[in-house]
Amino acid sequence: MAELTLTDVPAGHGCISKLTSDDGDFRITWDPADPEDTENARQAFDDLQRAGYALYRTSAEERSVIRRFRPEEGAMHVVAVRPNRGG
Amino acid sequence: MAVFFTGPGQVWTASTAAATAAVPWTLIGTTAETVTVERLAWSIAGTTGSMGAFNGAWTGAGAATGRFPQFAGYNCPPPPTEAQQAAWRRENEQRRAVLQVAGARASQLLLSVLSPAEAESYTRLGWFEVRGSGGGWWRIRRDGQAGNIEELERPGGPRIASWCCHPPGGLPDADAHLAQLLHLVTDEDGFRATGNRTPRRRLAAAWQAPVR
Repeated sequence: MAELTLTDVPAGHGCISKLTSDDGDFRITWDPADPEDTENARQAFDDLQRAGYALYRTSAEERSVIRRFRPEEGAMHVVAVRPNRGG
Repeated sequence: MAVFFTGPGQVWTASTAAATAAVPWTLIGTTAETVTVERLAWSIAGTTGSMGAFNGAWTGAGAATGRFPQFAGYNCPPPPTEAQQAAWRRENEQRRAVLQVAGARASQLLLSVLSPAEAESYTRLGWFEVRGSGGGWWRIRRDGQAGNIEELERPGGPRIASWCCHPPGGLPDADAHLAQLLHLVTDEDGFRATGNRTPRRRLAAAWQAPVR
């Protein structure tokens, strides 16, 4: 799988992409070296989880469900989306 | 309120009107009359029924025959002014521009998550295949987001069934495809439990083939 190549995400930063209809996705980025940034990202992650979003970690190695924000693992890309429904 | 709501060719009589007394419309004119409706009719005068066939002019059975002249032009909304139409066009163009930007961002995000082979297939062929967490093979098609997932017999093989399972909220298609991909590769059983399955229809000839 490709590494994160979103043009507006600075190199080495993590990113939470919340999928939205009007923006495509709303991106929250954080610098793992910046504690305040990281805390904001954790807050966003927790808020999304509470709101019922499905959260997935996507990386070169894996696509997995993520249930806990782990900043100690460094920059990661998280995709947040409302759970699928049968159409 | 004097309204009728019916379809072409239907005959309305006093007894029909009586039978529909439970609904908020009644036959136009005197209920002693028999009216054969010539075209799809509509409701007016404040009902909330479907207005799909209502074109703003009273052109139904009564008007055509002059039977109900008292309803000519009754309660018809005025046609939109030039200014209103221009405003609607502007709103539509703005909305289209927003959706175009959203779609481009969604495509960028999806392609950043796909492998090079998947991305190549998606952009060139309009679909990519993925193995679910339960071992099944799936094809996610680029056109639309409802019923766009195909369950396959094997990689590159024929379709067993189509599935409809997508996120709510009117996301751009590429966002929905990403959500479908992530659902399949992390929880195939959950996907099957959530989605609606449409089995592949076999050709009639296949049913008629001799049984061996």
